[in-house]
Amino acid sequence: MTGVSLLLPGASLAANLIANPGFETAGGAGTVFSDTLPDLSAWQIVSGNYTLSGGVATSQGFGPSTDLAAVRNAQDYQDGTFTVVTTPLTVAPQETGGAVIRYRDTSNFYLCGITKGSLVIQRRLAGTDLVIASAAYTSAVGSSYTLTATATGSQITCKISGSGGTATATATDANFASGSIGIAAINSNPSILRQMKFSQPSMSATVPQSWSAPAMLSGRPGLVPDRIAPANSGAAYLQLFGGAAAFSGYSQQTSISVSPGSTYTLSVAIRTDSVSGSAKVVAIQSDGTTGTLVSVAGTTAWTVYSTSFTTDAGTTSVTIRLQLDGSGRASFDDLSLSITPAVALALSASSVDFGGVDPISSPFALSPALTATVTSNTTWSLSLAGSGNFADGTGKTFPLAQLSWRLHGGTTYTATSTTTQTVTTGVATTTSGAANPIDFRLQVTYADPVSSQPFQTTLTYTATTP
Amino acid sequence: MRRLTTMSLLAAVLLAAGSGGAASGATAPAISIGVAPSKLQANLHPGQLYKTDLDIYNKGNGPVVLDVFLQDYTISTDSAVVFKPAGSLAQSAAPWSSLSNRVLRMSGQSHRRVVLTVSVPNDAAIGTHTLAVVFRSREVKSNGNVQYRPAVASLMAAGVENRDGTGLVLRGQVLTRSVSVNWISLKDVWHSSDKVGAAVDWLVHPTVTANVEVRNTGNTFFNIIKGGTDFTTSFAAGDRTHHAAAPTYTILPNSVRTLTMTWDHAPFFAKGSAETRIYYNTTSHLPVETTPFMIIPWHLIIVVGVVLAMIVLFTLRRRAKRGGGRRRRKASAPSPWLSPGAGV
Repeated sequence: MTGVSLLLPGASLAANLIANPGFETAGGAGTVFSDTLPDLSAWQIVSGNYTLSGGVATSQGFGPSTDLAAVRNAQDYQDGTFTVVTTPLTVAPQETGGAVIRYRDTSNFYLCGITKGSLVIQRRLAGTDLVIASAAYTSAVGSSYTLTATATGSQITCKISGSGGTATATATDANFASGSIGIAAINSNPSILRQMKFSQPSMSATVPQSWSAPAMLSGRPGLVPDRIAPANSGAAYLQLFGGAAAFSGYSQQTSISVSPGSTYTLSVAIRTDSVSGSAKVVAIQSDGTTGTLVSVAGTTAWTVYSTSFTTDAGTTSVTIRLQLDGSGRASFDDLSLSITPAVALALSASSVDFGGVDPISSPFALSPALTATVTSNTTWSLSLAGSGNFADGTGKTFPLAQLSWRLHGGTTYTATSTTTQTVTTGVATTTSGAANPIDFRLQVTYADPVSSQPFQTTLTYTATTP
Repeated sequence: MRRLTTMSLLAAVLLAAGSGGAASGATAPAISIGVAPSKLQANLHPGQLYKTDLDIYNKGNGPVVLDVFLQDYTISTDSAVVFKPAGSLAQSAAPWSSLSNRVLRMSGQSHRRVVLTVSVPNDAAIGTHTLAVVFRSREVKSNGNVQYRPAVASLMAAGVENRDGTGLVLRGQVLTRSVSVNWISLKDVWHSSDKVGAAVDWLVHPTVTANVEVRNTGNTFFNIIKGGTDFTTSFAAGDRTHHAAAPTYTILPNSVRTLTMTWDHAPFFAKGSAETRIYYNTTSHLPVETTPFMIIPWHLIIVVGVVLAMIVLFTLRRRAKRGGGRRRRKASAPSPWLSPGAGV
């Protein structure tokens, strides 16, 4: 019996060679941003100031103020673990400093920090600081402590390890679901300089399955497994960010099996935000050939790009690399890589001449009149349509239907028409194609006009892959 | 008669081209063009921008001039692509689309790239929208009566869905219209270059054909990724199974495609079934359709019957020639040289 099946939307597209193409499946944890602080180009000092020396950033420390630096263009971090080494140069209850997570702006963020006698999770909401969790901890001037801030949903965990041992504070707060990462030192004493040093900032988060953690070509770009801003489809996408024009980094999927000497179509949705260089998709073939398939700059909404490339004779696999050169944010979603359907049509001639004809000898047959060779790597169709009646250019015409055709060797002729007619169909061909010899027969009658000028018409043969 | 003669003379110059004379064949060099991708498929959202590269190849040695234009299209049940003016169909994506080039002047053995941009309006209807990008060679100046223009086209099907991924409903159906057993005709045998082989085919090699319809009753397209018809037999003389692969068509919404699935050189006597399984992705298929069939070797039966009949007739005639058979022999006079109990 027959049945009607309700299928899943989106199941209709061609087979996709890319695994986890929409970044919906989370993989393992990986380092998505880290900085050795050779300079502060990955950072944006949004409040107060920092100085840098030997890979260590030192807060300005003027009170009352907040010295806050956020990782530039990393505003969509949601869950993950941010670690920074913090060294207080003074220990006082008026100074709190450490790792900032879910930074929205200078008035809204979480701080996992140390202050005199305790480890705290502090929320700054609309400019007002509030300690939402704390644990006793003794810190010493000049000692270094590793602060680890972990955000998982609405749960914020802050850990410290150092000369005072370890401690953990946990809070539940849902005011900020996402944001950037950074460092902050808050000095509420208006008259005393209180500074903190920061080094080795590093962010860890789940990297989309089948995709690599970000690799740096230059500078310190980062990756966000983004579920915050609207994706092109689904809930997730992959975002690369860079803090400076000289930055370059990528995430990639390796070992995608392909056939040598074949053409593939890559399709990808890309959104860019103030990209100074380019957001790129690069194909690296197993024989080393590298080609940039898509390149986008500036600020653009989600746009689907589709392009093709041909593998070399020695290529058996490709790596698809998503790359950001420069500053800004590049978002990628809905990748697909599939064999490119292609069709080619070769006609053995561009015209045929029946010569002089007369009704007595009619009909006139040309067998074959031409050969139409179709080459395709998928199911194809060859169709025929006439442009109109035969005309001699002086106003005399006779019907197109008096010309008829058949596949060579066929039994019956079909009158040509201005309506599209299927000549033949076929399945994937060899590289030499499928030759289709076609016979013509022309019927003329005494009712047809006569002319010293040649009567002409045009037939269009069209090859498609329906 | 005179009029007829006059008409004949006048008609003799009808279609005169160049020097005229007897019908002549091809007069100009070959043209060969190709396009990739020849299919464009995407799921898009209202308000979204879609940009795709189309690669055009002039595989001939001579230069060509190609007109590049948009068309609407439909696909008939027999897979004929019927082009319509751009924007004439309700589901046309042509009004949203533009091309980077309208004319391509290409040297021999060259390649060009055209960018198709589709800007889906914010109020675009959910469902599948289509357009074709046609690359058609311009006519080559010729005195020939029938001029050919090769064209290739890239057929786009875009499923426009809501931003949350809803709205597209993919619904398909497989319907086996018939399973027929066909034998070649004696006329085919007569016209065959291999008459012995054709005669054997006529006797014992039928072709089983399943005429299958694939229906798309949803609002988004789907592709026949793989699958086909499996012919199996519960008893058979000869090959017992056969798989006929389905062509990899794209099935547009509200359309029906006819697939002709054949088993050449099927067994000459069998009972079996044709099971059609059409995959719309690598793992999922439409509901399976199974139809029984029976192969009866009519030609063999007829031949055997005719041979038997001939033998019987021959036997009867032979008996008749010998004088009416045994009754006559019984009625004939006994040999004067033989008598019961008599020795020689």
